[in-house]
Amino acid sequence: MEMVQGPDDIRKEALVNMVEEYQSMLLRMCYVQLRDIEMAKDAVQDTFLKAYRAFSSFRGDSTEKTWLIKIAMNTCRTMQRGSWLRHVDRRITPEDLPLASEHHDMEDMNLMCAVMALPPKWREIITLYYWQEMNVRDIAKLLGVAQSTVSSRLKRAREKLRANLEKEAEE
Amino acid sequence: MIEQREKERIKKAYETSLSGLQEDPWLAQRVLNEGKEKKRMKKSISLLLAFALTLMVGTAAYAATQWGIYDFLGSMLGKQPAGADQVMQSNLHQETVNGVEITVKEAGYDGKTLFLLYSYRILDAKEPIGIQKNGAYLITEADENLLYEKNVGWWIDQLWINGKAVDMPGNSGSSIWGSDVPGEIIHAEYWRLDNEELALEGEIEISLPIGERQNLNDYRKVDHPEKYGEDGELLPPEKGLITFRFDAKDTLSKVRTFAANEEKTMPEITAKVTEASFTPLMTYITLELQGNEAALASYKAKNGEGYYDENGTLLFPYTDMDVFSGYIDSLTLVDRKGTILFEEARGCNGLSNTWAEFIFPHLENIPDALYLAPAPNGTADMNQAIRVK
Repeated sequence: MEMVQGPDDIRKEALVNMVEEYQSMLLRMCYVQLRDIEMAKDAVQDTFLKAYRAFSSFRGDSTEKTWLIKIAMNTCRTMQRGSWLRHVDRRITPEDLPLASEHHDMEDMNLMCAVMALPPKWREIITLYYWQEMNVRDIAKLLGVAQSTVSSRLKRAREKLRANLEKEAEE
Repeated sequence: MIEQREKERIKKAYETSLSGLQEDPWLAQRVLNEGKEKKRMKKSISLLLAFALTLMVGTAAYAATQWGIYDFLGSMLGKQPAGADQVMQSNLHQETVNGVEITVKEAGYDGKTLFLLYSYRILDAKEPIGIQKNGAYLITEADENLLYEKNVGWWIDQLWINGKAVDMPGNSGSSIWGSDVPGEIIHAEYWRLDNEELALEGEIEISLPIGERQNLNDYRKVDHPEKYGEDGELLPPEKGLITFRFDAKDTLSKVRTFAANEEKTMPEITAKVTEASFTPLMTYITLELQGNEAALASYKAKNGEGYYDENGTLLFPYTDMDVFSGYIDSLTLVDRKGTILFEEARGCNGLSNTWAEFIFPHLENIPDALYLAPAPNGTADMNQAIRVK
């Protein structure tokens, strides 16, 4: 979808299209970061609201998707510092994951729980690198950190997940 | 390649195990509604609860000389006023869940806010919980996890009042502490029911989701519609709740409300107080704000268009709030002579481009004239004061 700038009606239509295209992706991303469905929904709504308000000043020097991911990540970080964080279940088990509409693979769920057990900054990297298939350079630019920082966090996160990944490889 | 296999493996985990997350078909509309800069999201329900219930046998409410809620929320509530006994109640409920004794120690309602003080006591604990500092016990994430290990604690972000679900209202908050009692964790909370257009009167029943933690998947509307009422809200679950009776009495009648509605125009902002409510426990002041276009333009000319990230990408453009937030944040409550009434109260409890809210402790004697004025060096600048009353 092409970002547009213009009168309110066009802006609204752009928002509707943006929500339709990216809501699911952002919801999963925020859920992984916040580990709470209701907080994730709040974060997604907040993300789109910020994007809607900033439409007219979006310079198009990143893709729309990257722009939204950046807003979402910042929003999640702000919420993680919030006073109601204590309501977030810090230990996600497969039973806590939202039930998949199709048959779910237990190993997938265990791996997802392992990802969600990582520290927040490592989770960001895993999400962006593996799920969004971004490269280190783009991740560094999005998060505003050095490429070496991204590489380091990625390495450590992979080591943490190794047990889950190796078990799968053996099979 | 191993890495390629890893990528596929993790990507698959994201795709399958999170596919149950439900999208909100109304999200775009909600964003558009909120984008109109309403003061806050208001629900259409307006509920006034006023009926008599038989008090639960064994519940005792008695006046105490020092209410614990003031120990834990003192920075907001200030000193305990004489009238606290009229609205606070104690020893409302106790039960043991999974080896954790849960006690609703205190509850109070001042006409706007529901105050709660409750505790968990892990019965097999031998030591106090938390890091002791300056006489207080600071609770860490690891300490909170002790409750999760017992599968006890807050498991959904709402409560029920007389069986009706109440989402967490805006501007609510909490604090959490340990104590000298081994295994005890204390929660002090304040719920701004007025922000959900809820008012309480008489005997009511309150249910908190602080018992045995429940699996939220068992309450998904798409899978369990029978657990939801006609209004689409979750009915009180059969498990996981701690329920107690509370007498809100006729506290609403004790709230005194004024509205100066006098516009004060300054170079950066025009402001007026649209509501000032004085309750038995707190003071609440609401302002309507309007920024100055020329001031915003001047601000942008000086500071750029908005907030940029490290790469120079504009994230959020400046708005009126950026221009006048410093002024609003500096305001404190003074009388007509400029005497500061609450030296240590921060005051500002929320701000947007068109609205601000201030909360202060209880005012025992309401002066005939009140103002919000900046007092940067302890002296109020009455030239920039906004009339409250």
